Amino acid sequence: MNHWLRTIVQGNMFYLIAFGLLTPIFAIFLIEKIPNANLLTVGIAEAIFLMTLSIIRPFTRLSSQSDSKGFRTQYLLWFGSAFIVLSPFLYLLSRDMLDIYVIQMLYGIGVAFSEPAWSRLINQTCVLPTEKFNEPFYTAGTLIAAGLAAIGGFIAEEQGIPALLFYVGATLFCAAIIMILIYSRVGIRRTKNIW
Amino acid sequence: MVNSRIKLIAAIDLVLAASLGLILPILPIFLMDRITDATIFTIALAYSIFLTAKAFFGWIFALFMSHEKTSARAGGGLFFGSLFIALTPIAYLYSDQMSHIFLAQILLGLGFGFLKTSWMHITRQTIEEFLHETLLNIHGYILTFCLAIAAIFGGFIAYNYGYAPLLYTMSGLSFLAAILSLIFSIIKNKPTVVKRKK
Repeated sequence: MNHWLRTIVQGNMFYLIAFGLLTPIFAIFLIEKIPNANLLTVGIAEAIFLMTLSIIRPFTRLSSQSDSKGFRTQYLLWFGSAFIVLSPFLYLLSRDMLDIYVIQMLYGIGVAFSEPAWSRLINQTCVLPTEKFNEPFYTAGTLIAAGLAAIGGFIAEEQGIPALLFYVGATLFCAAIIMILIYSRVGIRRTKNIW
Repeated sequence: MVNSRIKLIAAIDLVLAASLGLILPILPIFLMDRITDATIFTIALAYSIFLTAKAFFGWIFALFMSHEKTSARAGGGLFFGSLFIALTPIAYLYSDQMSHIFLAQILLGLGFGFLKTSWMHITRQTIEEFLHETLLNIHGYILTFCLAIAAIFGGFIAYNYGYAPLLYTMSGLSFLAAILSLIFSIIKNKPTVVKRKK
């Protein structure tokens, strides 16, 4: 495998780690921490994240496709990564479901902004046909997320959900730094060959 | 350009996504409320078991499908996958221990493993190559929106009417997807004709 591609996959694993730790128990965190949280508001919070993602994603993908050099995608990656990294820490500071709705919107914007950069990196470094390449990594990613879900539950049980959120934020920060560094090296189309 | 088979295969996926999206955000709360020995760790473990089962059975079914009669086996995988997913909410409803939930999660993982593998194969066979990525991207956007609507409906139904109606709705949607997959296997594949201007 192309060594840049291997590095990109390893960097993206950190994102999978962070999501895998928090996803199974996010609803419990809301019910325990937020006074006016109930089943309906938890569903609305999840819906806000998904709706933000579904509305903004086509525009960011379109913007990235028309970005020949890659600088616009890079700016999107910076802002997106900042929003994603801030989200777990903002969850810790939230006091009301309205705060959670805003953070979910921010998180959705962050994911929508960051995704085009990852796709661009894979397209520029992948030398194998896409179909043969994606399946083993999808399976490996699913298995890793499965293991991490259990680890996340264990950490939340032993040390509490706020501690888990802190670990998630720290992991996302590492992932964001790795992706930004890789993108600045590989994602930008320069006139001279830097290798 | 988009024939009835493509619309049907997209509809099957959307209906199943809606079915899962009803309960997914609030499943941890359901488990904490209804299951006596549920803890944060066991809930995360249940989620982990689902993902592991999905990956494992998807891989097994892909190997099974690749030997012979691929299209027929993919059609069967689509139907039986939907059926297993339809049975899972019934299992949730009648569970009172986490061990029952773990078994239900294995069943759900089995269903999604079969379904995903079959669906990916069928879309590659049904959609023309030049349209494949575009249609899958559009389908992905609609799927995310569908999951968002399902999350709101799921919370609304659970909050106002309780968990039982929600789980029956989830099961009903999955049975609908199973019926649609049967209809899909009946419809013949007609190649799309691109009309060119003279």
